[in-house]
Amino acid sequence: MLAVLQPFRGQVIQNRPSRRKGMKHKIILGLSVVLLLFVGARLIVLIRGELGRLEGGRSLAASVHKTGSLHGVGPGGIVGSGALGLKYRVLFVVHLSSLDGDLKYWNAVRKAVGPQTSDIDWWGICDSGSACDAFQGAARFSVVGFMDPYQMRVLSNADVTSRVLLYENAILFGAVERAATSTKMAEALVKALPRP
Amino acid sequence: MSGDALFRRVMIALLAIVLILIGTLALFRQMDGDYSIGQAIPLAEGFSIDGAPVEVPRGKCTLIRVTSDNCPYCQKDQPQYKRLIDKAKQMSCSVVTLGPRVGDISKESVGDAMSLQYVDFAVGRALMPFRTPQTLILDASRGLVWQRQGALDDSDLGAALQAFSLLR
Repeated sequence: MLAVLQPFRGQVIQNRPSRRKGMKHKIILGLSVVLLLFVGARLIVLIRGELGRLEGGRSLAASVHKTGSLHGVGPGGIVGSGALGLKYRVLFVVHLSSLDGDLKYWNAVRKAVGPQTSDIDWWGICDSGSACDAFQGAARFSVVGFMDPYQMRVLSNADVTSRVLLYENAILFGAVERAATSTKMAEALVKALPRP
Repeated sequence: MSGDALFRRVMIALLAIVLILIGTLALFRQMDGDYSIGQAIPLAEGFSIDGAPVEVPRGKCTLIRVTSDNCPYCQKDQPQYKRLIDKAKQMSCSVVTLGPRVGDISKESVGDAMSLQYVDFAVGRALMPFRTPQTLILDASRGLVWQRQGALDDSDLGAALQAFSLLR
């Protein structure tokens, strides 16, 4: 009898760890599949949300961004849109780190554009709050240190690509890249302004 | 190929897929908020609706609410937001209301609370004021520790209170 069972005994002893290992593999595999399905489902939900937001973002860019919120605070207090009755407004960022250069540049741009159109209100938005206020006397444009968060964000986006924003009343109609020289900048601005 | 080798290959493939999906999720999470935790929002000074200068004290933390009078969701979560204000005051933190655009908040709606209508360029660059309400918590160094865009629900409130409790 023992002689008959002998081969099976050996087989049973060998199979036990193997079966345990197989079970372990199945459990890990099952858990991995569950985790994969969970992460995949979450990803699908997020992608759907993101696509919806992109759609919303497109309409936001098309409508809201065009309307400027042209109010600010400069050395003399609150400055508002239409205060001077001028039709166009040019908004650009002046950087404290290059303030002297920026002042000369924009003063020269204004001088070069001046004879062609005087219907422009020039706003230089300081990138360091009231730190540029002391230079208002030397600037041929309004130095503005503070604006509402919305308009500051729009300006910040424009500044990343060195662009100058052009408004007709409060409607954004152009964004011109800052030229290397004040003469070229003046030419680009005059070209961007609508013909009367 | 033996069973073990096949299992190993399947496991490596699954692990790679899971890692890719987790990475994609992390990317989406980053995109989802527009803000990133830890980013600086240097809200130190500004001007109120009527042009009066406002200084935001550098306390243990700052609770910022970007809101508008004509936004229905900004009214909907007032119970949750008031609990956050209570917590912030209990911790001697500053509470600041921000109007995204001129005319969005009125003196009547803000009352005695510290409010800002005009901010500097650095704050404008850091904020994403295109939707309301937004609730942000900054730590003592004005780094973002928690944010929510949209009306707060009870789970957001729990997360925000937890963020407060983690501040040193």
